[in-house]
Amino acid sequence: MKEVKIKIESLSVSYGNKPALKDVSLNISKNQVTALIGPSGCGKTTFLKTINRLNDFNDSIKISGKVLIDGVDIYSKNTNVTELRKKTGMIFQKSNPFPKSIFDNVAYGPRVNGITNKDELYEIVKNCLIKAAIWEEVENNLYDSALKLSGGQQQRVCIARALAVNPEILLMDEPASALDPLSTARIEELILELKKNYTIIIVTHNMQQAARVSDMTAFFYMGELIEYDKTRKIFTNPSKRQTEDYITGRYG
Amino acid sequence: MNNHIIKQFDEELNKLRARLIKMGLMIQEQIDNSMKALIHNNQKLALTIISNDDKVDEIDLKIEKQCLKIFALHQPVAMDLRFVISAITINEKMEMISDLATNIAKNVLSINLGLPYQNQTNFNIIAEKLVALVTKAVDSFTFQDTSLSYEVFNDFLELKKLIKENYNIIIDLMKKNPMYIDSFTRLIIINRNLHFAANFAVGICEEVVFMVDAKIVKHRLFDFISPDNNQK
Repeated sequence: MKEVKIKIESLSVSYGNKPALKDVSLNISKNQVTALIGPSGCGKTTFLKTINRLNDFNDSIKISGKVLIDGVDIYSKNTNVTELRKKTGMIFQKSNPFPKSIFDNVAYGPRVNGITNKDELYEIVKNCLIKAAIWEEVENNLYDSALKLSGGQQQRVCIARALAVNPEILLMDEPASALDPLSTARIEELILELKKNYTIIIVTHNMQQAARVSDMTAFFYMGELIEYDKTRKIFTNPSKRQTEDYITGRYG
Repeated sequence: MNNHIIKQFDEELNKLRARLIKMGLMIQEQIDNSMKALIHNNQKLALTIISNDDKVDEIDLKIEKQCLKIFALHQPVAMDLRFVISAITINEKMEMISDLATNIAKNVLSINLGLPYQNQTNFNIIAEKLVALVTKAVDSFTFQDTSLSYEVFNDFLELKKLIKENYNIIIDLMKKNPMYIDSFTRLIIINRNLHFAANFAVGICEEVVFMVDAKIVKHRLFDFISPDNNQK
């Protein structure tokens, strides 16, 4: 049994009167990739944002239940949200590099955290770009604008930027949906490499991608967690009819 | 079962299912005819079986191509994946049953017409039971009925016993009638082919159980047969 990194207990989230997640409970293991699948509006992204409290900025949101990371309730009053967000890097659907150089993008987080030594920063940036499998492509133009890179490269720079603050969890919201198959394959390969050191949760609309990269898959439908099981089981013999209908492309 | 959002996917799966059902009917006829040819030493029927094998081969290729097409274009998962994977194996087993029927027919053509063996061997009862077994196996696929699959597992053990007995009977007859050694050798080959055919019928049923219940029963037959048969 793998060590539990994130424990969700009876989590319900609503935006005003509109429920987005209904009584969701699940355990996410350390160093595993967990895929969240389901139709648009089923609560996947809300779930993801709940883990690093990105929903805090929405005044109308109501959250009940618990989200525990390493056994600590992240919604308790004592939680330092900045520290929490350092623990959880996030990668979005559309690559969003800052309009700065590749170096400055990756060095941004460490600088905010007070690292000013140039050599130390260079080492951090280099390591993160290596981990994000893009170092060889950018080592000679580190000080060029990140916006000059291709979409796939930009996304990997964003992953490097997320890694630079030493997170333990990576939250990915459709990280390859805007990329061509080759760039997608690179990101997927990277995810499999990164899971050795990070706990990864990925939202994806691409069923094959979920099947390829994840160890566990959670299927959400209208705010409910319908099924959560090993990916191999979900894609060969799901237990619930709704899951089967969704992944096989049938009318629900 | 709900329809796929992509209608073409449903059409491809239905086409595959229809072809397999057709293949099932063809091999049922092949095995039935091969048994009739054997029991009645019907050489004309034996020739029909041999020529029909080409038609089975033709549909075998079509089914294989259809499976490839579905994999390449639709990347099936869950129940669809199990169906297409099973279709490949079931198709292969059905084609082999037709090959065995053809082999039996070829051997029938070479048996000495005056050979006195019919009333002394188990072939009559084996033929009846084998045809029933293959029919049940094909039906278990057509109707996706695993209760028939489990019946086949049990029936197979009974048939296997008869085939084993039959082998000993043929060997005894061979010893008593050494002048017909060539024809009796052919009967031994036929006897063995019957065993293989029954085995493939079991294989079809194992796939049906996988397809319908997602349960792998292959190589674990004894876990799925009735206690009575288990002691045999």
